[in-house]
Amino acid sequence: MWIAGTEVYGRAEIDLHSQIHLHRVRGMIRVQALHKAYRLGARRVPVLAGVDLEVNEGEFVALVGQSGSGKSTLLNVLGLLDGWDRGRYSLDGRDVTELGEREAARTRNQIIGFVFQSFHLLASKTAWENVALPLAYRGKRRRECRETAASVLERLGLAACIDRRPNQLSGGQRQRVAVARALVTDPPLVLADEPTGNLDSQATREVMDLLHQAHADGRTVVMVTHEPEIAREVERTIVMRDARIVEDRQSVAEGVESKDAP
Amino acid sequence: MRETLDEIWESVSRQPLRTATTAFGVFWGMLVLIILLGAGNGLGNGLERLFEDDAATSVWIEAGKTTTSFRGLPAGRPIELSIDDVNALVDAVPGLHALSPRHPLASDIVISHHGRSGSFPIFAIYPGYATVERTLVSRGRLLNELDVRDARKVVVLGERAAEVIFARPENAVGKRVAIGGERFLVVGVFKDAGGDSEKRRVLIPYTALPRTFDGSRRATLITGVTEPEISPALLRSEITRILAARHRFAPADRGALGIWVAIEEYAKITALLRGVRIGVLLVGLGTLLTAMSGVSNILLVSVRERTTELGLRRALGASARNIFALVVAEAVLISSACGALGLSAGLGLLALARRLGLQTDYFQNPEVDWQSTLPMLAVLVVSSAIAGTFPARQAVRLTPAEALRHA
Repeated sequence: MWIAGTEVYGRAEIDLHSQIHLHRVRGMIRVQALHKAYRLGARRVPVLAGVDLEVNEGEFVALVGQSGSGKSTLLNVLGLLDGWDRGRYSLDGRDVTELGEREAARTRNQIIGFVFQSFHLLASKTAWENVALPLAYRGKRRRECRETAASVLERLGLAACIDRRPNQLSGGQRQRVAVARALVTDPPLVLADEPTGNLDSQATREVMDLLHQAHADGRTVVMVTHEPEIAREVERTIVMRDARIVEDRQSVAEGVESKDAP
Repeated sequence: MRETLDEIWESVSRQPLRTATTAFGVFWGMLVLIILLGAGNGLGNGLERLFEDDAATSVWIEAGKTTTSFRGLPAGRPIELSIDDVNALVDAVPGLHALSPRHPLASDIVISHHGRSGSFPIFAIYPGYATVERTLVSRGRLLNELDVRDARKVVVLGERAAEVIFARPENAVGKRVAIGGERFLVVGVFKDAGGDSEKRRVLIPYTALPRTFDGSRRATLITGVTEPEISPALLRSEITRILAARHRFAPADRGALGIWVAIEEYAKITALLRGVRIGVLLVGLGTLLTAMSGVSNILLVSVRERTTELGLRRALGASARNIFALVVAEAVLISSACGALGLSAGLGLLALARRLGLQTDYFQNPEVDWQSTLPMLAVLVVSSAIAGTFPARQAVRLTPAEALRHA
C-alpha cells in the first residue's frame, strides 16, 4: 500500500509458522515513468520507455532480460551512474530527480555499493586499497581505511588476500574483493551488474552467498543477471523486454504472487 | 593529500618515458628562460657599466670628412679639430661644460723610471676630461687648471701603468718619470671603472704638449658634459653651427663631425635592452607554453587511458570536481616540480658562469634575481593549471556509466 507523501509501504510477509505479519517498510527505490533514449545519428533509440518500479528496503531483486532489454541501463540509472531524459526517481526516501553531480556522487558513496561484472579493481592497488577507495572519498584517514577494509576482507574470508594485487587473485577472489568494496561503507543498497557473469560455478556460489548475506544483514540488493538459476535464488524477479518492465514476480519460495507489469 | 599524491605518482609512473620527456620539456623551458634572462641582464649590465665608466651626460666630438662640397671647397675634405675649437666652444654652447681636448701622443713613446719602462696610451687633456671619464684619484691628485695654465710637465698615471713603471706603485707620487726623453713629475695615480685598458692610460696637461712633443695644436677628440635638461638635438646643432663656421663645411653635412651624446645613446641602448628583455621573455614564455601544451597533451592521453578508472572512482564517490582537481593537480605538480628544477638549474648555471668569470666589457655579471623568478613560478603554476583544465574537462566529460563502459 503506497501512502502518499510518506513513502511508506505496507507489505505482507509469511513466516515459517504461516503467521501473517504486517510490516511498515520504507521504500528504497521508486521510479515513475522513466524514459531514456540514445541518439543514433538522427534516430533516437529508447532504452528505457516509461519504466515504473518500486523496491522496498530489504528486498533482493533480480533484474533479468535479454541483451539490449535495458536492464543494465536501468541499474546504472538506479545507481545514479547515468542520467535519464524524463521521469522521477526517489532513492532511500529522497527525490533524486534534480540532484546535482556533486550530491549524486555523495549519494553514491553513502547509500549505494556497486558490484560490476568485470570487477573493476584497480590493478596498481592492493586488495585492501581497492576496498578502501569509497572510504577515501569519505575523507577517512589512510590508517582507518586500512583497518576497516581489512576487517571487511577478513569477514568475507579474504584475510590472506589483503595485501595482494588483483593479478595475484583468482576471478572469484577478485569479485569477492569487489563485494567487500561494495559493503565497506555499510550501504543500505547494493547494486550488482551481472556479478557472476565472469565466474565459474564455485566462485558464483561464493559470490552469491556473499550477496545473500548482505541481504540477510538487512540491505536491499538489486542484481542484473542473465542466468535463470541465479535469478531463481532471489525473492523477486523483474523481467525487462524492449526497454520496458514486462513482468514482476515474487519467487515461489516467497509464495506471494506473480503478475504482469502494467 | 597523500591519496592525491599517490594517484598522481601512479599516473606519472604509468608511462615513465613519456612523462619524463614531457617533464624535461618543462624543465628545459624554464632553464632556457632563466639563462636567456640572465644573458639579457648580463648584456644590460655590461652596457650599463660601459656607460657608468663615463659621465651619463658626456659629449664626445670627433672630426670626420666632409661628404658635400661647400662654398667652393670639395667633398671628402678631412676636418681637423684643434685646441682653438675647444676654446671656441667654451661658453658658446649653453649647458656644455668641462670641455677638454684629448690628443694622443705617438704610440712609440715610452715611459720609464729607473730601468722599468712601458708603452701606454698617453693623452694630453684639460682637467675637465676627468669629469667626462669619471676618473677617480687613488693617490696624489688629478690634473688641475694651474697645470694647464703653466703648462707644467706633470703626469697622472693609471693604476696599471703605475704598477708597470714602479716597483712600489704606492710611492709613485712625487717621482719623476721620463716620457719620450722629457722628465715629468708624477702628481697622482687614478682608477677608472672602465676596466684594464683605461687603467693603463697616462694623462698630461694639453699645454705641455706643444712644448714637448707636438706643436700642431690638434685635438683628435673634444669632450665635455652637458646638463640633462638640454636637448641633444639642440646641443648637436649648436656645436655643429659653431664648428661648421670655423671649418667651413655645410652644417647639414653629417660626415664632417661625429657628435656622440651619452644621454641620447643611453636612451637608445636602454630601449634596445628593453627590447632584448621583452624578446627574451617572449622566447622563454613561448618555450614554456610549448612545454605546457606537452603537459596538457600527455595528460589528455593519460586521462583517455584511465577513463574506466576515473569512471569507477566516480561510481565509488568521487565527484566530477574531485576528478577535475586530481588532473589539474597532476599538471600543476609535474610543471611546478620540473619548472622549479629548471629554475634552480638555470640559476645555478648563471652562478657558475659568474664564478668562472665568463664576462667581457659588453657582458657582465649574468644574473637573475631570485625574487624576480617568483612571478615566473606564478605564471608557470597558473599556465599549468590552465593546461590541466583541458584534460580535466575530458576526464569528467562522460557520465560514470559511460566511462565504465569504456573498457
